[in-house]
Amino acid sequence: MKSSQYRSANLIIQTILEGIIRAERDDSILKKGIVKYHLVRYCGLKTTTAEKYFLKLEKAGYIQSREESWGERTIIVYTITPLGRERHEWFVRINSEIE
Amino acid sequence: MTNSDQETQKNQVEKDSKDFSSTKNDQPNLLNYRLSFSDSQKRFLILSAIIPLAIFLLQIANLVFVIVNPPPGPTQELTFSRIVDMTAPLIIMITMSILGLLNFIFLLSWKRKITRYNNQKQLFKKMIAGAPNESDDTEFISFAQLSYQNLKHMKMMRIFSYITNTISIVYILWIIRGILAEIGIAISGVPIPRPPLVLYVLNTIAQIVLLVYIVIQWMFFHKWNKKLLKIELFEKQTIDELEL
Repeated sequence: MKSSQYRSANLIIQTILEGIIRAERDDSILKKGIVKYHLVRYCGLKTTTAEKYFLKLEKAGYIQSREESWGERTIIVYTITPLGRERHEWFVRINSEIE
Repeated sequence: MTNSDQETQKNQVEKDSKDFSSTKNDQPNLLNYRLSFSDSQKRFLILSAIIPLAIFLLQIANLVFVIVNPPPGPTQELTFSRIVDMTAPLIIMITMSILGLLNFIFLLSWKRKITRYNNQKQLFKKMIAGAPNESDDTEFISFAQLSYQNLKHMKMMRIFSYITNTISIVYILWIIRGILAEIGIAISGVPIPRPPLVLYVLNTIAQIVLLVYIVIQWMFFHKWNKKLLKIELFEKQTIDELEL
């Protein structure tokens, strides 16, 4: 993979992690995590692309998913793991130029 | 880069991660996701507009002077080399001014993006509070997107800074030649007309400002290159972990 591809992939990964962390912080309904549909919207990705990254992130232990019922439907909610949070915090730190 | 160098740098990335984890309590605002244009950035924004514009206007005055006032001594043939010699500082400083202005334009655009980023907090809250299958057409901008746009700009500016630093060496040599000519040591057969006092003083100030700017720029990119290397290692580590 070329460095430009690393960059594109990392951009998506960090955006996903940020979306989950923001939802966990901003959630006013005590529903921990973010619904898959909202996360895809936040990232601005096609669903198929987003799902590919969600699977990879979950397999690597960055995020977790759980199913919840919503009326007669089942929705998927994503939360972040300590590893995912650590990876994202490091990214934010280096880009915020905090020494 | 050798394998041992890569290993050392990878270890440094991991060390930084661990160091950060142990000190995260000292930096509680890290994930507030609220960016602000700091006072130093505002000052830099203002200076990056004023300085290039002032230098640009000064060079227009220099150009007028060069055209209107012939060099001392008998009239000499206007050859290409003479034209270049007389307008060299002008060209150099205009080039630097243009690059300074490019930076200013980016900073202005950057400030707007930061404002948009900060203002989307309520939109995000509204989205996650809504139905799980509904959302409006809001396009969000993430911290990662802002960071990478900044990185892209900085990489471009780095190339420009290499060009300007090369040009500045030529410019410094030209200044030295002018000083030697002032004290009576001629380097070439082209006499340099002495500008009016006002222009002379303004040019001297502009030269000092540019020299300081070049030094600051060199120090900044030296530090920034190290940061870029860290980011690249971090990216590779992440990609390897995710097996992408």
